Amino acid sequence: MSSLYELTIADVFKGLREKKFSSREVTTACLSRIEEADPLIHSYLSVFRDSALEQAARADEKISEGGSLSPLLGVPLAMKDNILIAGSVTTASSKILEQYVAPYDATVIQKLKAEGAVILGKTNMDEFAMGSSTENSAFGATRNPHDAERVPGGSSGGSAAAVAAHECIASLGSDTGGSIRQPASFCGVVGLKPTYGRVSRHGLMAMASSLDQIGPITKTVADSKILFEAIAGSDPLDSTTSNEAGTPEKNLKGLRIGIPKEYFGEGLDSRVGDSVHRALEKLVVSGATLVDISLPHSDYALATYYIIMAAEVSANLARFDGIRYGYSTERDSMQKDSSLLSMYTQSRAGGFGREVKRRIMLGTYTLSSGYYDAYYAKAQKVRRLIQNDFKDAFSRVDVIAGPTSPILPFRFGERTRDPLSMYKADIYTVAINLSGIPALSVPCGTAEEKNSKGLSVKLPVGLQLIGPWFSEHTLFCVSEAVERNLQNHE
Amino acid sequence: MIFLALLRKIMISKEETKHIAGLSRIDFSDEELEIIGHDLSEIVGYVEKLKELETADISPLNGGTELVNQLRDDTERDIARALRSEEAVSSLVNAAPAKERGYIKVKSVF
Repeated sequence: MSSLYELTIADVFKGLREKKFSSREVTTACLSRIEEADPLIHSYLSVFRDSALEQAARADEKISEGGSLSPLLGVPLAMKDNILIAGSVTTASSKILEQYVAPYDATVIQKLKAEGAVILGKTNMDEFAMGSSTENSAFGATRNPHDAERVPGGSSGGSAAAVAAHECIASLGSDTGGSIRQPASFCGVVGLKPTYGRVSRHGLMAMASSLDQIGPITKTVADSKILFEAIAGSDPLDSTTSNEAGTPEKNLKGLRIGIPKEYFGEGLDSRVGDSVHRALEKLVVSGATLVDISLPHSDYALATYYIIMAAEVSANLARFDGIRYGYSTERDSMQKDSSLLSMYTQSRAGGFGREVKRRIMLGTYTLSSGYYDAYYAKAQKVRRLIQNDFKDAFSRVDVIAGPTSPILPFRFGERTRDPLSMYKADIYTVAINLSGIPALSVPCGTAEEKNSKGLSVKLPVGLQLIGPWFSEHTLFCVSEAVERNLQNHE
Repeated sequence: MIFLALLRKIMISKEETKHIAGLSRIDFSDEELEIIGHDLSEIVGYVEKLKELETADISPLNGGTELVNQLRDDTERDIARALRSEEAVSSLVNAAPAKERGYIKVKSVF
């Protein structure tokens, strides 16, 4: 039998129910795995050893009492560090929140606690979820478990790497422009960005409120479904949540899969493209039809995203003023006597990292007097055109498929000097957030690369499935077939 | 790189960068202003590409949801009740860098 930390949520549920092992044993196995793997991978910013073992003991008690068990009871999970857990330090990987203790639980945490899940700790990320490599963390980058010389993707890089390195059974991330799907693709795991409004954002640190969504990162599609169902649903504390039940699952027989020509064009690594094409051909064997489609405004998605996201960032991050919490020059006796204005400007200068400042500046610029119409108002109109592309496409096809990322996991430092080259890593994912629709990244193959010692490493490739609003269950069904085909191939 | 070839030339002056920094409430050194001004010029140059599109008759999409008027009863919520407890209040106040007699202390505005 494989080690306990290698199990999936479904495996743990079955094993606990059949009393093959206890939650305490699975939790201890994960904690030991963290001790062994994390000095290299650095997925975690904090590990809650004692409370995790307590939660596991409580789960074991419940199991011994019998009755119906929740599929997450006693399952050890990891949380991205922008999701609040009452009483624990929550930093969003920013120096400005280094000592910040969350005063309440996010709704998703409340739900997971009610299910009896075990929370192992908080995972590393790009500062305030701004980045595509986890290199923007104030507390050091996370490494890709498939090749430690490469980035795990971002911004939920810690959550994806923790799952891939078996430092947890599953995790939660957040996705504003690809921050769940791209690291899931880079780390060879499954990542879901749900429909906007399916999962409560209450207790998620806001980056760009019209785009942010929490979602699961898991070892299998079946686990993604379990975790998604546990966290989804309307919440009075987030008025953008919907109580929509979701559309019924469509299976592969007769399913029309749209292949957008814009997602296979210039800039796509041919090894990624080949791997995705092979996976799609196999779906045809199972009864699906591939339909060539066009999303004509794809080329404008990244520019639209950078205007809207940065504008929302500049407003949301105004709350970090050095007065109520976090890093502040007020804590420094040397600077205590400065004016109110210089306390603002210097606390923010000292607390925020470079990329965060860059985006606040960009958002402030595009919203400022004289530029608002040219940039922000224009981007909102183009956002409509991008959403209309998807509406038109979904009148002809059931789902859309393509690569999650145009490139393979890259080396540290490769893209940090040129912000635009880093932004480009999100080229296939941002349009989905702008449109509010769900998308899932599922591993579909690997590509060979050389490491610095000349040895060959196998890097994962992710296939992105995009569906209409509230179609998560169809995405699960199709991606399960991709997963099955890949396993049979191996 | 193809990406850079598409860039339109936009120059955001140092004066303008300084003005934006002031609005952003972030202090930058001269050298940092230089770098961030350059980065902004490149990014704004890139997003200029939206001007290629004719959008006069398009209605803006200004959010992630099409829900309207989410109403609720005007009663105190559990979370508000929980955050009113003495313990919660003191933990919130204690998070602030300056406080006095259970209040958060703020510098004078003028």
